[in-house]
Amino acid sequence: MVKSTQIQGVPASGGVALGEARVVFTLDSMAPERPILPEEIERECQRIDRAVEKAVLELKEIRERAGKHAGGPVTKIFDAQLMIAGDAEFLKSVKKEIAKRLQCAEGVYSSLVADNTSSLRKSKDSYMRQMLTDIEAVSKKVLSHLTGNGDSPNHPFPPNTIIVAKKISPAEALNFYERGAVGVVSAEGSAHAHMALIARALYLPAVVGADRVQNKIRNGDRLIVDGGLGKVFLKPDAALWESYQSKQGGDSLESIKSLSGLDKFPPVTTDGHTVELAANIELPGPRDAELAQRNVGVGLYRTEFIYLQSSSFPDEAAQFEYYDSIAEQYAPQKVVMRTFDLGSDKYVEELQPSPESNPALGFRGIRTSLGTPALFKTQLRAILRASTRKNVKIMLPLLSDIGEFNRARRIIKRVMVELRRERLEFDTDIEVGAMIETPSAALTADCFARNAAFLSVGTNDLLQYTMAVDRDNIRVADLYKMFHPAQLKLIQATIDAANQHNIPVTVCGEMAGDMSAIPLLIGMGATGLSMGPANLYRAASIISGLSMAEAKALAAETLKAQTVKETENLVEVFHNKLKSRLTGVFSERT
Amino acid sequence: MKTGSVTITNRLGLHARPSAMVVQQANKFESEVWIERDGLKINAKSIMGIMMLAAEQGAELVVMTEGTDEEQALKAMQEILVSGFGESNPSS
Repeated sequence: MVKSTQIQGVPASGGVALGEARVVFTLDSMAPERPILPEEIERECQRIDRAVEKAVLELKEIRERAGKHAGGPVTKIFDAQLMIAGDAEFLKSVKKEIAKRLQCAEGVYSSLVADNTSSLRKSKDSYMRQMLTDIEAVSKKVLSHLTGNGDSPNHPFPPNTIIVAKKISPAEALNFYERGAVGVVSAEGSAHAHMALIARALYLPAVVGADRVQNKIRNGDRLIVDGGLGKVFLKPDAALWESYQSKQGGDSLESIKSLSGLDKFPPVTTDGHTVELAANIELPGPRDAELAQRNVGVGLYRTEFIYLQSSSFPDEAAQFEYYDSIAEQYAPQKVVMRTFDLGSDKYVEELQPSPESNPALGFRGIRTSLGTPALFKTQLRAILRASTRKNVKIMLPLLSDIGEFNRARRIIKRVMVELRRERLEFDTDIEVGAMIETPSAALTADCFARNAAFLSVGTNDLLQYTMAVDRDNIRVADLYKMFHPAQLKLIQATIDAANQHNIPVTVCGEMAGDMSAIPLLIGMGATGLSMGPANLYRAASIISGLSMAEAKALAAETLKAQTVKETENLVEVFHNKLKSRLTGVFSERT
Repeated sequence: MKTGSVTITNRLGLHARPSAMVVQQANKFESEVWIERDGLKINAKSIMGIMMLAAEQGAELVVMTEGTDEEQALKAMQEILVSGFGESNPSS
């Protein structure tokens, strides 16, 4: 009996991958310092010229491929690297030093890079650290061209390969994706790093910051990567493997295409209740066209990703262009634009130069927007101007008091007056909804339901705040249970308030994409679910095979349960029953 | 040779985008352009050099220019370094 091990890392890109490990060694050993003769100076200078030239060409090509797979905005990540690679003055100084030190190009180049990055290395500022990462990525490329191992391999991996490495650069992540890897795991890196951004745009499940993972895992080991939870399961047992198989979602493009095979979308329960399904989206990509073609709208557009991609706030014109192209692509399907949810785990140096002692409880979400009205207004102007097709809605994140919602609404009204004065078009009836993701908002959901056009439950933050648990903290993560009675009661209160006021209420957190949670949420009265695109097909199939009556019975019984053990058990029993009834849904992907 | 001092005022300091702008500005001139910070002197026409400064908000820099257009170059460099690099000011 093999023992299964769980390795905790940091969630970098959601989705689940099941497969076999391929441990990739990235060599960052020092380049050789070989002495040369004076007559070799010329040759060494030519070598470094050629290596730099190749690196620049390669980066340009990578930038293009990234744009193809992950959408235009992602290409900006490579701009800084191109500039670094093309630094003519630096190249001059390398050649000067080759002549002075009488040393080979590799040695001089890497020693000058080390000199140049010494102050960046000491900096704690994440912008400065990012520059360091960019410089390292470039120097690695130049050195690999110098040593003749320059061309990145392009042979495909065996099916279901999961890459494990000490450190993975954005370009490497793209390369792994193109060669068919289904997930990536690295020992270093953070959720904000560019590699994570690329992985998310590619829907490639990724876990980073998994301490010394490259030493713990061997080639060929069976792995489960849960990118959303930041967990890696090494040599999982059959039961775990099977339970994860139903969540697998690296190949979302395929699963989106399979939506065409459904009888009905949005799905209808066997007793005639329609459930709205929509996608959670972070970045533009090839999935947009596929989703739009199959009449899927966006239930949660995480707009902060436009900000995370550039190093400072995009202006109104840039934001308008971004939102408008999204709205255009999905029209007539609806797109719910959630205003910036920055702070906590997402970069906010620009808004907040000094770190907070407790960022999850600090300046984030709507608080950041209300605290920086100029930036908020810029975003609102851009969203409103993109609403002319009448398919855009606005959603406000992390509300904890109705006063915040009302203040935001007043700002929206003022922006509308401005736009009207400037004779700029927008949807005058645009809907403004409230995201319910704090216990205080859930407990006062009635008040929100009276004022908002719709409610949406963000289950991840709601659970974090309800259980007072940081799920990235392995010592307390066990308390992070989505079926906890406390969480279910708050969700139920929110749904009831919305139903009472006859407004739609959706669930858009991770729970909405969890196959075992779907019958429960529908039974509780959610009118719609928004989830990662990879889960839509299975969710639709489940709903079409389910009756509202049995979902309601499940919800009634589960809400009465006293402990998380009971609720989990009820949900699991129901899920297994459904699984045996709908075998096709669960076994189509093994 | 012309010399002038300047303090970085934008919140984010000389990160990637401002660094690029500084390099582009320096490259418009014939003259040699250097920036010095705490005894570290770098070539302002090189992005690697600028990044080496790791100049955050409040960093005090000395700009040095030498060549036929040293006067204009110094003025232009000082202008760009205090410009804020088009960073929007969240508190306004």
